Parts: sequence; C-alpha cells; structure tokens
Amino acid sequence: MKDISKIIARKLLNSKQHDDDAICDQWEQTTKDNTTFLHLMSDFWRVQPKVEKLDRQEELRERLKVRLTASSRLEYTGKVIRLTWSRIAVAAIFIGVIIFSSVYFTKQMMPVKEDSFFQIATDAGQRTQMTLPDGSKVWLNAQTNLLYKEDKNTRQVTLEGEAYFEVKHAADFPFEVETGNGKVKVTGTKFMVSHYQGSAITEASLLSGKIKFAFPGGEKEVDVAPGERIVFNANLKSYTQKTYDVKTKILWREGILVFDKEAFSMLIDKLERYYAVTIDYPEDKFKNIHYTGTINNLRLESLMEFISLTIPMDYEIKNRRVIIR
Amino acid sequence: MYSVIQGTSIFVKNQTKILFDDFKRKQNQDSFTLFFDNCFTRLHQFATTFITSEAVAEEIVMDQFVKLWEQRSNLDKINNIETYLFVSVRNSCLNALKKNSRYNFDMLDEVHVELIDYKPSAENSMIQEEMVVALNKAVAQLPSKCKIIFKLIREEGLNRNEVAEILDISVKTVDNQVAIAVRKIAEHLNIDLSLPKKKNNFTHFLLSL
Repeated sequence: MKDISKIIARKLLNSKQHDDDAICDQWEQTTKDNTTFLHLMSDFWRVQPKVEKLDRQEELRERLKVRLTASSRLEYTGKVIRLTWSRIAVAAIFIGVIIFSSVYFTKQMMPVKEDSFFQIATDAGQRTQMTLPDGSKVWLNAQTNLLYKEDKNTRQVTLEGEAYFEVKHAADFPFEVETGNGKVKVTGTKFMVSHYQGSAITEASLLSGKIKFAFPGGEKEVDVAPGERIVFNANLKSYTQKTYDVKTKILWREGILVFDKEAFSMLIDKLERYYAVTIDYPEDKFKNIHYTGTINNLRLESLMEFISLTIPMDYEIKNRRVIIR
Repeated sequence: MYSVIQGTSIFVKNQTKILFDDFKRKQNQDSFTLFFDNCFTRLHQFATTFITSEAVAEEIVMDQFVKLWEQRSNLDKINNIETYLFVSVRNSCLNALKKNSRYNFDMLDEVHVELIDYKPSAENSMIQEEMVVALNKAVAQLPSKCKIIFKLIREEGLNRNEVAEILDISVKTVDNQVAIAVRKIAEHLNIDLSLPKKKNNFTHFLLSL
C-alpha cells in the first residue's frame, strides 16, 4: 500500500530519509485536515509527563532494604556465599508456586460454595492472592481458610490462618474479618490479620487507614492506628497494642519471613506451615531460645543452615521431616 | 527531590543514567535506593504486560534489583542500563511463566497494554476536544504490539534502537509497527493518507521555482 504512513512514522521516530520532508510538506498542504492531523500526531508523540505512584515508595524501599540486607548477610558469611544462585532458583520456585496456585485456583479449585459462602484455602507451603467480590484484595499465607459471600455489599469474611487485606473504601458497608477469636472492623485500609486454629493468639497489624479490633463476644472494641500491631491472647484474656514495624508482617507475600525475638516454638510453627514440613525438636532444650532473622526465599536445606548460624544445633533432614536433636 | 525528577520521561531517562553512574561510583545502599525509585514503577508496569499478578510482577522486578546489587562490583559490562533492565525483566517474566519459555515478538499479540491518555500540550491548546477524544479512542483500539512500542517510546522516552533491543525485533519492524498505527489512527479520524499525485509534485516543484 502506497501511502504516507511510513513517512509519518519515520518523522515521529526521528529516522527521516532525505526526501521525506518534501513529500510530507506537500501532503500536509493538500487539505487543512492533513495539517491538523500532523500537528495532532506530533503533539501526541511528545513524551508524556508521568504521574508516579508516590504512595508506595516507602513500602517498596522498605522491601528492597530487607532483601539487600538479607543478600549482604549471605554474601559476607563466607560459608554460605554459594547459596546466591540457589536462592535465586528458590525465589523462582516460589514465584512458580504463586503462579501455580493462582492458576490452580482459577482453573480447578473455583472457590467451593459452602452454605452460600465461598471458601478459598491454601495448604502448607502455598500462598495465593485473590480479589473479593467488592474489589478488595486479599493475600493468603500458608494453611489459611477464608470464607466470603459472592455479594459485594456483604463485606464479612471469616478467616482461619493469616492474610493481608487491601480493602476498598466504602463507608456504608463496613468490612469485617471474623476470626473465631475476635473480629476486625474496617472501612478502607491495608492490614493483616492472623489467627490459626487452636491458637489462643489473634493478631492484627495496620499499615494504613483505620481498623477496630472487637474482642470475642463483642463486649469491647479498640481502635488500632496505622503502624500499630495488636495481639490478643484468649487464654490470658489480655492484649498488647504497640507501635511495630508492621511492614515486616506482610513480607511473606514475597517469600520473606521476618522474625523478631520470636519464641523458638513459634518459629517452628511458622516454618512447618511455610515449608510444609514436620519439625521435631526437644522442647525443653529450646524453651528460652528466641530467634531474630530474615529468611528470604531459602530452600529447606539452606534455611536450616542459616538458622543454625545463630542458634547452633544438630539436625537432620529426611524428605519433608526435620529432626533437631 | 523525587517529584522534581519526574518532570518528563526524557528527563527521567537522563536521570536514570546519572543515578546509575552515581551508584556505580559509590556502590552504597543510598545511591542504589535513589536509582531503584527512578526505575521500579516503570519496570513493574512493563512486567505486568507479561504477568497478570501485580504481586508476582513486583517480585520479579525486585529480584532484578537484588541481582544488580549483588553484581555491584562488576557493572561496567552494562553499557545501557535501561535496555539491560527491560530485557532482564522480560526474560525473567517468561521464565516465571514457563510458557515454552522462549520470548518472541508475536506473543505480544495477546497482552494487555494500558497507555496514558493523550492531552494536548499548552502550545497546542487549539486542538479540538473531539479530535483528542477520537485520537485516544483510536489509540486504545490499536493492536497490542503497536501499543507496547508506543508505550516504550512515549512514556519511557526510549529511542527506536532501544525499543528494538528490548522487544528483540529489528528497527525496521519498529518503524513498520508505528506506520501501521499511524494508518489505523488516520482511518479512525477519516484522514486520507494517500500520497500526493506525481502531477501535483511537479506543479509544486514549478511553483517553488
């Protein structure tokens, strides 16, 4: 097709050939519309000023910092320097798992309908993300169950496990997360909630917005401010509410586990869920031990090696079972 | 400082190089963070062309930065940091997808590309509103291959050689795709693109004497 489109394209791309200008001028003068069109195209082509999303800069920087710190730690501990490549491979596997699980959910495990509720669940070692009917986003950590209704005005979900929510603002329809041990009430915000079955602990961390934590039975509600974490203990019937580095509480979305003076038993619980393994250990021996560290997409073997750098221990890995002596 | 450097993409582009050189020299986290701020959103947007999950796309881009950080003592081998990052993100996305793994330009037929709406610049404020609306509509309907090229050039300020490298196509293909886009847009706006007739050409030549 003989037309002027190629010439205009070359003009836009700054790759004019010698007689392009002459032909183009001539074409332009044929009609007034042509002149307007050329003006319009070159103005359209001018590089567009971009509106950057500045609100997430802080969060992204934080995540980068954690990863760089973890990466430097590995590089400088001469012993594990060769893990770098396997770490990358593991990261790829984790990404694979996420993709796999999202494909899995969309293709095979369309949410199960249960008494007009839909259920979505992850097994140990899995994570997934989904958008709820009202447009809110939710990320499920390993071994988590979420019940919700296929109705964008009923914003009540039931959680067993751990999840991070980014809730669409809708003042008239409060969003509620029921945990079986307290409830979180929301209007529009980013927060995480964790309560595993059989545990006395329910915790919620708020990244932005506003939430209320309602105690079981609904007798009391407390406001949680951004940057705060609330931990409720059903056995002691008490709670602590403190400023906390809440961003570290949702890094599991990227395959990063952050432990801050975590009791050894809690550490083991989390690792079992996250790695889908069974870990046996002598409880007495590790009773007063706490662990602080960032585990960034490590393979099970490397994980155990990494932990024993700070907590020296004897261990053996047999398939999906770890025995600590 | 951040909002200042966001003026236009051309500016961002030079800024990218300046920030990268600065990081190469200093090799510290502060200089790296500034460089990261400058590139992250752009690369993330590009990654979402291949990967639908925003979280996964973010992780992939994050990985590239960690990799770059780990190689910080050996960065001289990179001669164009932008094309280097775009190509690495492209490849990592495809690896993650395991979709026969090999990238080819044709797979961009199926992707979704979101372009920034065009608004006339101040000096072109006389451009009629209907024209602007029609143009944006025409652009939105372009094949996704055209769109991704538009995006890299208009929004990222890359040149045609860089775009060709990032998409692994010839410069000629870039030109052709833009020509296709021009043709489709013209069609939408009822503009006749046919070349002026030879006769006119001659008259024009005579008139110009």
